[in-house]
Amino acid sequence: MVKNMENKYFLASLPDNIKIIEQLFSGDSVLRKREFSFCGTKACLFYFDGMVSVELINESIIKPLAIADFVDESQPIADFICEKLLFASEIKKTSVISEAVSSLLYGDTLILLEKSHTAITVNSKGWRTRGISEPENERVLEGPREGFDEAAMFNVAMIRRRLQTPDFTAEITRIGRKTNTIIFICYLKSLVNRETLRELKMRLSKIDIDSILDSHYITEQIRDNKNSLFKTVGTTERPDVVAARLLEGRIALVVDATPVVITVPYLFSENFQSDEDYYTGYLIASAGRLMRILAFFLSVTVPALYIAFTTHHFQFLPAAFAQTVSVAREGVPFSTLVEGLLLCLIFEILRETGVRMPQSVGHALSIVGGLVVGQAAVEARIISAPMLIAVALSGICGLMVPRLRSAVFYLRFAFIFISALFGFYGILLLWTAVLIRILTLKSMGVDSTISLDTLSLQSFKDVFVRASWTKMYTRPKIQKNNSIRKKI
Amino acid sequence: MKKTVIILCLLFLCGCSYTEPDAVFTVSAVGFSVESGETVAYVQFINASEKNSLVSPTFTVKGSGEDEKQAIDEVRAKLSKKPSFSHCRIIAVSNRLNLSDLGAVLGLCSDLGVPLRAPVVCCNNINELFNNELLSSGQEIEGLIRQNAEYFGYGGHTALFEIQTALLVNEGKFGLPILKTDRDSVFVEGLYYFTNGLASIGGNQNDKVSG
Amino acid sequence: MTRSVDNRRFFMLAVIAVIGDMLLLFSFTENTADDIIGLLLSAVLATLVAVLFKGCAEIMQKSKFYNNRLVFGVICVSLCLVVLITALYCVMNFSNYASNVMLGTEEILITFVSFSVLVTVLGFSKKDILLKLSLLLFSAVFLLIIFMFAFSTAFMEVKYLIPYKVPTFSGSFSAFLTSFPVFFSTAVPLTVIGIRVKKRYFALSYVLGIALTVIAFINILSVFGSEFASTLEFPYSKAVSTASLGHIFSRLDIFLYCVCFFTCLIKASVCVSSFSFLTAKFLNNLLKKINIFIEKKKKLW
Repeated sequence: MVKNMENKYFLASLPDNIKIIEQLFSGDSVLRKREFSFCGTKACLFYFDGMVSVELINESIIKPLAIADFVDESQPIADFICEKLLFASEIKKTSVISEAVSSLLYGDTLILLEKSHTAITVNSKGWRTRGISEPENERVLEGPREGFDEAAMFNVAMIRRRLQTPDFTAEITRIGRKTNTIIFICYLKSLVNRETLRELKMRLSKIDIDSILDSHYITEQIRDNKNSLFKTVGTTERPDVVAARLLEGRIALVVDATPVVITVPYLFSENFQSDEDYYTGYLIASAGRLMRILAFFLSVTVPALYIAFTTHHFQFLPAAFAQTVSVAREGVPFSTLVEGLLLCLIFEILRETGVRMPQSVGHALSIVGGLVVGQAAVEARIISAPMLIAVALSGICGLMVPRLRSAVFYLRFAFIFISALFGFYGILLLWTAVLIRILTLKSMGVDSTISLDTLSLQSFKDVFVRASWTKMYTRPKIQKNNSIRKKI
Repeated sequence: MKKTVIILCLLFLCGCSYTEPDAVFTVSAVGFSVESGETVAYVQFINASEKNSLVSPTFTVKGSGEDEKQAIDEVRAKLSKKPSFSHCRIIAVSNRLNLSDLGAVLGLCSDLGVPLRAPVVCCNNINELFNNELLSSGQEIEGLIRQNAEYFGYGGHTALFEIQTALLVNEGKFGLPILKTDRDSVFVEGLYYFTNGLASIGGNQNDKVSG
Repeated sequence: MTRSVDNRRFFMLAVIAVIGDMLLLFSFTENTADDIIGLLLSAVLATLVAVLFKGCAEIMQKSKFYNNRLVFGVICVSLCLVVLITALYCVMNFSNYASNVMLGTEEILITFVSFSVLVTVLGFSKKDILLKLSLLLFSAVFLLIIFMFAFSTAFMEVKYLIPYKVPTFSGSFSAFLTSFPVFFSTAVPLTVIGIRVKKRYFALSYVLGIALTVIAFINILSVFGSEFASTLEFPYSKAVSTASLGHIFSRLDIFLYCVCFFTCLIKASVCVSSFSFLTAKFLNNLLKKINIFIEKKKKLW
């Protein structure tokens, strides 16, 4: 609708302009109209109830105009009002209908004047926001606890508060035919890779979609490989994380109406990073990082290893454990493969239910999950205890790496299948294939495993471990062009 | 479409050894003897069924034939599941076997997948050894052998591959610990050793192997 | 800075490639002296010849003969044949091991096809992927070989390492012939893809790769001795299966599966990668010549 109004201008007649706006929003009961006159000049203002601050309109627009006692005829009326009468921090003049309507839709007040082609838009945004709260999925024990909310402007402000430098830039763009969602492209001018920025803008311009209601509408459309199991676009709800990534030369996309901010390029090692790594000692942070890498490996491989060793390579199990497995499997009606698949599926169902269910039934679910599935099923010989332990371990390890959730989910099943077919050889085969896939990942044209390009300690300082801050004296390598890497 | 066809073809070409753990009987000990001119094989299995575990944790199956292979085949014929020798802890041989029989028996054990580390012992009455109430599983017999290794001087040198090497080299002498069974006990009596590839088996049972 | 760092990654790649399928191809005579002499001789000679080969390749590349169509074509074709045969041989050896030992089946086709697919994918991908993969796998291969050696010490006998018998020429030569071609054949693809790498790193990679292979050789010899080892098909696998890690692993040849998989994969992929590089160069040159020829004909017409 707004795009149809491009290249259409306001007329000199106030009643005609009022008619244009009313026709555009015919049937809309939320649009408010206030006709008034001052110093013999008629005017009309429009605003959307609920999106504006009514006090601001009264004090900054209506009152100054109402008490004005003269109008300077030597200059256009719109110019005079903007310069001399209105008490507002942001005032824009426009004669293009689409611009005026866009501002009106975003919480500004539109003022139309008699005998003037120019309309005035005054910043009077006053909608309610959720306020600053700690993100649910990115909790830390120590460190900042601020999280973004749904207002893009305030989110950008939170980032700017941390990067108090004129280098910080936030370009605006809009995507979405119906929603016209505002997106801020944020970066540090001296650090950003211009090629990556150009690539990102090109991909954003190619998005042709009705609506952008969340950042993930964009992430799926700008990522390098649409079908990859691994993330190649980063997301976060924390302003400190965004600031840190911008300082590494990345670009952030702040999308309106969602607290999730996108950052690109995204390196594979970030899947194992936790926000808390940088707010605690480097030793414990490094231990945590290594555990997360191990957890990813275990979550994908443990059920497959169990199946491989019990069905193909029984000779490798210690005698006592082999006996335990044989006894545990006696009488179980399902094959080891089916048992593994079933248990993984049940675990995923329980996990998903845990996310969706109301808090009040949490206890009941724990009882169902623990007692029924765990104890009763084993005692009834429907499943075997060792397989249940293997799947439980795998599931818990998977929860340690939430950013790799999609990869863990699919790979776990794939590994189970291949281990049943080819045993340990199949596991090696698939792991190599997965490794090769990871090494070929790209994010905005940048290798996701760029740290492995060089064999130097500085490249690995923030990959497998988190080195001490005294050792981190260069920026991480985001681009092949070394000139961007400067001493912090 | 092409990828799916290729993957399906690959899958159907698969002839790999998928075996459920409860579809095999786990062998804990194997023994060979000569009785009435026939080679007799005794194979001790772990009783994995909980229903019978209170009665006995193991059970032994006997088979006989012209050679050790036939004897093992007869044992197989008596079983409802495939035997898995990969956890066999002990190979017991009777003193009635000669050297070439010993070599053949140990070669068969290697082919069956018995771990190369499994100790080889000598025993006159293998059936009694495997069915002794006090000490009946291969694991426990292996423990007894290792306990007495220092005292009787054979150290750790009774492993399957070591005995096979000694047979190949055909030099010096090597001794196997002799296990004797009483009604209510099993003990290591001494060493029974083979000398210089001679056909006869014997020697001073109280001698200790040097080195 | 970039070149010296590439040298290091190439070093890691080359170490793994040099080990290659040698761990599966150990064969012993019944004379310890012959085995030791054969292996050491092949190790030393292979290193020297490999470094010489690289040196010659570098000189050749800079010389005028390299631009000669015929010479370049002959070199390309012969090198392509060598690397292809090496790759095939490596894949066959590993497939045989994987089918018989890892999977316990006699159907070699499944392991051959699956491994070949992986080797092809890796070989035809960017050189960077191969280097990154070898960077990740190097420490695993190195540590596992040392680890398996360390845990095999319980069953090792020093007496098996002492050569009691007099060495014979035929025995030593046959032992030499078993290992020398395998060691040397890796030099060809490594030279092709690492033509700009410094000779120092090339030589060091050979030294370390062969040293790790010798450790495996000592492992087998000290556990079994030459006589018994000569009767076994995959002696290293059997030797490592006698080792155990307390009550966690009753036998360690599961780690050998990993080591052999990685070393054979890298070696075969290096061969395929060099094959693709050579054919690209050859075809590129050929296409250029064809284009020049077509342009000339067009002008004539």
